[in-house]
Amino acid sequence: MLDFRLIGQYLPDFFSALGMTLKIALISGALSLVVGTILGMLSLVNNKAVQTPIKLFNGFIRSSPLLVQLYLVHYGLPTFGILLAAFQSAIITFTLNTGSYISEIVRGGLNSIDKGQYEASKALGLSWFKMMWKVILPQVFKRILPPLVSQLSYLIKDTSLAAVLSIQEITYVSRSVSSTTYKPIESYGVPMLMYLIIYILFSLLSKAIVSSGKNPARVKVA
Amino acid sequence: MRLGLSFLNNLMFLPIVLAIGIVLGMLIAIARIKKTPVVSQIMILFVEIVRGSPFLMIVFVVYFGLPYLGIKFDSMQTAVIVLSITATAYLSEVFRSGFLAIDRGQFEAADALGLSPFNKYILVLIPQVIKMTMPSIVGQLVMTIKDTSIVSMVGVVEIVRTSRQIMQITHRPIEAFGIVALFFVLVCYPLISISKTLEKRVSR
Repeated sequence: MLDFRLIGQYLPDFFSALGMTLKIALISGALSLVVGTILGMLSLVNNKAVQTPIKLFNGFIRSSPLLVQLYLVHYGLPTFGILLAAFQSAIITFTLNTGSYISEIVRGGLNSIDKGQYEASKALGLSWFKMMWKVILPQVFKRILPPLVSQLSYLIKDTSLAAVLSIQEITYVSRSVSSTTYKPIESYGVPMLMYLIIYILFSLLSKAIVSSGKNPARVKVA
Repeated sequence: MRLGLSFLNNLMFLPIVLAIGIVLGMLIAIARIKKTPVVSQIMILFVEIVRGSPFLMIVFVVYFGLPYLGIKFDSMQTAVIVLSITATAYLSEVFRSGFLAIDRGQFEAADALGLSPFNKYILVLIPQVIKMTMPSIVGQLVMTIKDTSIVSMVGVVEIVRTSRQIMQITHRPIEAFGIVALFFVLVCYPLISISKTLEKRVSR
């Protein structure tokens, strides 16, 4: 049936591939959070010169395939003199891509905050930066946690496209193991299982976050 | 010019994929809300596996993996199959939440009128679900269009593969991929705007 010895033999390869996948996801994820938050906050500025490029950028990212974006970065930037290793291209592309989606999430979150919070902060004399850092952003992040978690779940799946740049992540390694061993069930089964376990973990995380938010402390009145 | 023609290859997939996706997705959604003992469990398994796996991975499994088990698909067939399966899985979730969002009264009224289950769904429930989920359906259409670019990895002669060939001949990647991106944007951006407009209409 299942050749477990074979699986055992290639398990180190699968695990280092998993490490690569996670490395890409974590670095891109962290960077895209920063990028997305900054872009999201910038969209609050009422200046057309600021908003238009951001809208164009977001529109482009959402309307074009991730694969094409990867190619544009990895093969296109060299014409401007910027030579990138595959890993760097992948990180940059994923960061920009996920960052764009996160900026939309953040923008929605910022818009959902009661205007009173902004006014109260101004009344208290807080600088814009202090207002954002201490008052607004903490509230925003609590609200946008579920969509953020699902966006990160998408990022994990997006990392599989890094395989087209020959990066040794799960999808790439699964294909090379399969063509070496001629045993597809084992070769693709283990990687699929890895992706599914990650996916399930993210779903559980998302549910845990949602349910912990549903029970605010009850304040007894009278 | 050649890029334009090969983009038609991308778009060519859409009618079939979408038709299969909507029909099967609807059936799966109905099976799940009816909670039929074995069928709905298998469906849940199917949907979650497809949703939890990267698209490229599924393409590789179907194109490279299945032949060792005796099932050989060429690249076009793989593309149609994987695109359809993916669309079905995601649409079934969309429709399922659509069904759950319909007022229970509709179900009861249909039963009170003595409608057969078949009629109940066709005449009453499905039209409402489709109207409600139109924005998400368009969203899935956009996703499928973008996914057609990935099937280039197994040799389907569509726009991304053609542009890579052009790039290797002309060594002008920015023009090649830039035009590709432009094609996609020209198609997808209007669709996304439509989706947003539909969303506003539905929530009125």
